[in-house]
Amino acid sequence: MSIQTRFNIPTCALLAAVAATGLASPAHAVDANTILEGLDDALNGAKDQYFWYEMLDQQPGKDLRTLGLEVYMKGEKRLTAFTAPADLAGTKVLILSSTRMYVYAPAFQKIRRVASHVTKQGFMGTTYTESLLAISRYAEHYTPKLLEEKDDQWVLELNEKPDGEGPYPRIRVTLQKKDFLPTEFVYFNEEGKKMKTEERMDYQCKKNICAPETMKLTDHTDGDHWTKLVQKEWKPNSGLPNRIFTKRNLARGNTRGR
Amino acid sequence: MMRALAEWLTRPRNARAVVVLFAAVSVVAGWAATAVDHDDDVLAFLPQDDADVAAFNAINRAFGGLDVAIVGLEADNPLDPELFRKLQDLTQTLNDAPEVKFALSLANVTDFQPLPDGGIETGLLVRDVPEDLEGQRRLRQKVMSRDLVVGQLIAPSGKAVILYAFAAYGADQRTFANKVRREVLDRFPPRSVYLGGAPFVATYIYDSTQADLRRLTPWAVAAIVLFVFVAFRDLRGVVLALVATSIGIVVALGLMVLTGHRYNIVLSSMPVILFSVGSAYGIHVLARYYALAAQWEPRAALIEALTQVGPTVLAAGGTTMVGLLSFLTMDIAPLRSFGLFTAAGIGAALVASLTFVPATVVVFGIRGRPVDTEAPSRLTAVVKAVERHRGWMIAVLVVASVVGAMFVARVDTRMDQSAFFAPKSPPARADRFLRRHFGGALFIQVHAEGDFNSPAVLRAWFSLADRLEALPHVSSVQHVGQVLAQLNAALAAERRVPDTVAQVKLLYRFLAGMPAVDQLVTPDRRQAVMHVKVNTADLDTIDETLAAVEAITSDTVRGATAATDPGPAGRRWRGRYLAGRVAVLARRADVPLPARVEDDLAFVLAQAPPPAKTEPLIDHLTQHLSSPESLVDFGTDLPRSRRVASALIQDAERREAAIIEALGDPDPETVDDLLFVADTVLPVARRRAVADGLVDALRQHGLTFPGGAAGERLRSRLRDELVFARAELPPTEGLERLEAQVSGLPVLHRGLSRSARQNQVASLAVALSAVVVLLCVLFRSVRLGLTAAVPTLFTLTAMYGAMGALGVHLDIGTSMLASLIIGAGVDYAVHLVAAYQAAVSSGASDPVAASVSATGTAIWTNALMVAAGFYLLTLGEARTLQNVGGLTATAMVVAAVSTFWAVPALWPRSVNTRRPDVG
Repeated sequence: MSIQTRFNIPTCALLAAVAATGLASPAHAVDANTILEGLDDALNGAKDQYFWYEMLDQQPGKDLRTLGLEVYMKGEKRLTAFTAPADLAGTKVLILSSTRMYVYAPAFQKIRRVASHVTKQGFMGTTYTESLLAISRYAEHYTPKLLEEKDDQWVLELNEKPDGEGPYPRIRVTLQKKDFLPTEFVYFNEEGKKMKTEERMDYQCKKNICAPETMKLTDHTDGDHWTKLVQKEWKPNSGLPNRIFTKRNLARGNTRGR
Repeated sequence: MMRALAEWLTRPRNARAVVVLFAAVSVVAGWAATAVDHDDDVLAFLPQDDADVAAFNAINRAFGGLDVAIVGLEADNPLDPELFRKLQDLTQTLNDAPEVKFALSLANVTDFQPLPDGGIETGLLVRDVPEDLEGQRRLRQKVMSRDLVVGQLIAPSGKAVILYAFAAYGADQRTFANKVRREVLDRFPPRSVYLGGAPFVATYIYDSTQADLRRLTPWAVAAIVLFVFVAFRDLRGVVLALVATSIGIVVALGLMVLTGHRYNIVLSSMPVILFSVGSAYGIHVLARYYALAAQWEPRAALIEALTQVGPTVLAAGGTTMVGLLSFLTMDIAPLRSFGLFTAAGIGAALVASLTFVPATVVVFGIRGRPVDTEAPSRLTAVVKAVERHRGWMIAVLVVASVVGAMFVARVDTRMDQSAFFAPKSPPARADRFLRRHFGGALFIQVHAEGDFNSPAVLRAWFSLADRLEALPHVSSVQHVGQVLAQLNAALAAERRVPDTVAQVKLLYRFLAGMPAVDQLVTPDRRQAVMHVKVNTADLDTIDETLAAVEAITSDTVRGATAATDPGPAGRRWRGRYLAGRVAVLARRADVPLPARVEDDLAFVLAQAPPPAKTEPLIDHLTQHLSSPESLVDFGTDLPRSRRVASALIQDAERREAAIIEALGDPDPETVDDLLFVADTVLPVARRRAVADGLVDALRQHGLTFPGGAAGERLRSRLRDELVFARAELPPTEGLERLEAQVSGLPVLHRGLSRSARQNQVASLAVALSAVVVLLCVLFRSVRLGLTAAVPTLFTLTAMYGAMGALGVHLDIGTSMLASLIIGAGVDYAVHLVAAYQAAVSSGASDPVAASVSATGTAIWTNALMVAAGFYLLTLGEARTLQNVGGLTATAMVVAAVSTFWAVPALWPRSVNTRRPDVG
């Protein structure tokens, strides 16, 4: 038995990447590359967004855990603020770029700059990992292949490019024909073994932007341990001011988007 | 009554009905037996009622201590690129496996280090191993500088690494262990691999015992059959006796299914026991029938044979069942099952021998030939010689018993790993590997209940760990305080117990879901366990260390409430706590400790704090303001940062003006931010300056520092700890509710030893007294009853004396021995005494010759076949089977010898001529 710690708070800020979904026009072309581009566009449509999530985590054999978090996104910048439970409330993570991340914990009254290279470990014991959350454009990292076409769905197989930096070597994505929005991601390892399944459900749309009300990621390698993000509030394109994404706001601001 | 039964049985119609009935029962029981469920839980063999064992079980189930598999790899250079790639691949594959919750090794352990311009960088400690030697040397230096990794994941010698695999929730232990083993052996040569930890150990015990029994049972049964055949030279008779025994086995298994019991590894030895002991009953009946059938008409011969030997066989079977049923007094459930169902099997074999065997003889008209009496005639001469010199024989018996009894007192009931594993077995190899490279394989656990969100409780926990680590045979101590201190270093840049409950709770949040942390504290933070690694295998030293751990634990927990005292007692506690921390850090850095470090610290703490020097404060603040973590960005303008830093250390009422003066015309927001910096960073700077002063004071009192990075690390660690010297007394809630108890393998072994001793005494007392009463009733004579019991008493004395002399420990396996000896060994004396009594009563001219002639072959055949059957079990790998098999085999021969030695020396010249008749 050994002792070691993981320190991957910035992962939580990347939750926003998952939530960043925007609606593109329905496509008529059906080749795999076009579909993947449509998916990328659908996921990256908003200028800024605010989310308030309840995060539920169920590890096999353990009690259900609940976390509350708010996510502010604007371009590359993201701020995540925890609202629950009480001992975590007020803790914030600010990501200004891939190399500039800051953590603020009120209990310590200290801003800590963190450069994290740990990308494959679960965030606070959940099934979400930094590498899984960080990806927003799949076409940069994967080569698509159309596996199946149904009346209202496409099923794509994404294979990682030689220089790609995707979370898994192979992904099977199911997406809706009408709006290119993904409903399921199945992640496979090098040996082709199914590792995780992510479901995105109950899309809600405002103007041209859509976001799932519920996302659930199940880890099949850990007794089907699952984590669910339930959207409590969502505001796309609300004109978030730049001052939200500052160290000052991190340490001293009372950031409430609702 | 036996005659009536014999007459009824020997009527052809009744005989056919009995044969059909047994066939039907066998078919039904055999069908039910196919559904018998196997129980491979080795932990079920722990006596659940023992307080130490129950505590060990509860602790390890709560903390998952029994779910960790340890994979050790020995290599000259574990950081060799090719080997490390294999380790990465193994770690990844195990982490992807559903049976594995988490696998941790050098390949995926995370690390953090300060960034040169402020903040921290987190990532894998080893991402990739460089191909060039210089790069490898630097990597090795980095890895070996991490004190939470060295001794845990890589050996201090750098010649071995460990991978820890945590079983997934609900994963079958054997499936998990086999998965890990397969993946490891797919990548590494078996000679360099060591597999330890509870899942491997339990799987090994179960698999090796099962494999031995599967491999050896057919040979044992074959040996028994051969002995029977050589003795009686009647194939049909041998087959018949064995069929009767098989009925016993099938009925026992069927009963297990019907009553919802599961088959366990001890019950796996039931076939050998039943074939060796149970087949004797049918053989006795057939032997007597063959002898009588030479002169009598078959039906009359069968009736007479049953009438003569039936009661004796019934009594012999009864005593065996009593011996086995005495297992019901034991506190180990699988042993109780073994006793109950083996006794049931014996009972069924006994009934079959007295009903099914004669019925089959009638139905198939079997007529054998009389048993060769040549061997008994030689034996008769020996027995007569014993009878002639009975005075001497008794004297020798008494002397031998006294000598044996002297050694019985030396039978050791202390239990350790050697009770379960042969020296070359995989768990024993892993044990030696861990001792050789990682400072030991044996852990004492200290379990505590209290509020582990409380910094005061965590400091008491640290204090206990430091005192335990100072013990001579303790190589390391692991506890949750270390993890929190490390994470505190990441968030607050101070490696020590945080000051507030809120800070502790937040740190726990970041550790959520980590299996390694779950092994140290429960999710509700109400219980914690400390793992104390002991670097010796010597039982006396382990006992001494265990006693010291218990004493220190009790003393530390009792004294921890002193921390709440604002006066001298509180100061003393704080001095002692810090002295413990300093001592541990110095020892780990291999630095000699000043002789009076505790007194020196206590002296310093008793003094008023010296005024903080301004220069260190300005340095600290300047560094902060120049870092990316500062709220106000001064970039690389160090002179400006320094001017502002000088302003920030001013008194609170002058601070704002000083900031404005230092910056010219700053905007109000900047001033506000800098005041916030003063409020939050300045207190940290002040206490660090004081701690630096304390480190210097220690240096003046004789603490030396190594050069280079190691010296800097030690200084930094000491400063972090000594911050607590001048910190405000933090809340101390939770201390009054802190309770601790010591557990772990040494305590478990203590419980097991106690259980084995108690089981031995209880089962021996029950079996012996029941058998003596049974024998007295059977022979209607106290003297004859006691005479028949003497060989068993002598055998017990001789066997336990031999165990004492040879240093064979009394353990779970050997504690079964007494009941087996009583159950099986007493049969010989029963047959001999009964035959002698019958011979005298029938007016035989030479009762000695008659009794030896009637029983000698059967007794010796049975003794030798039981010995052969059990001896074959010693050829396996399982240590417990080796002990039980070897000792039982020897005991059967001793029982037979002592029967022909003690019984003739003790039996009366004239006896109660009433035949034994249990009916």
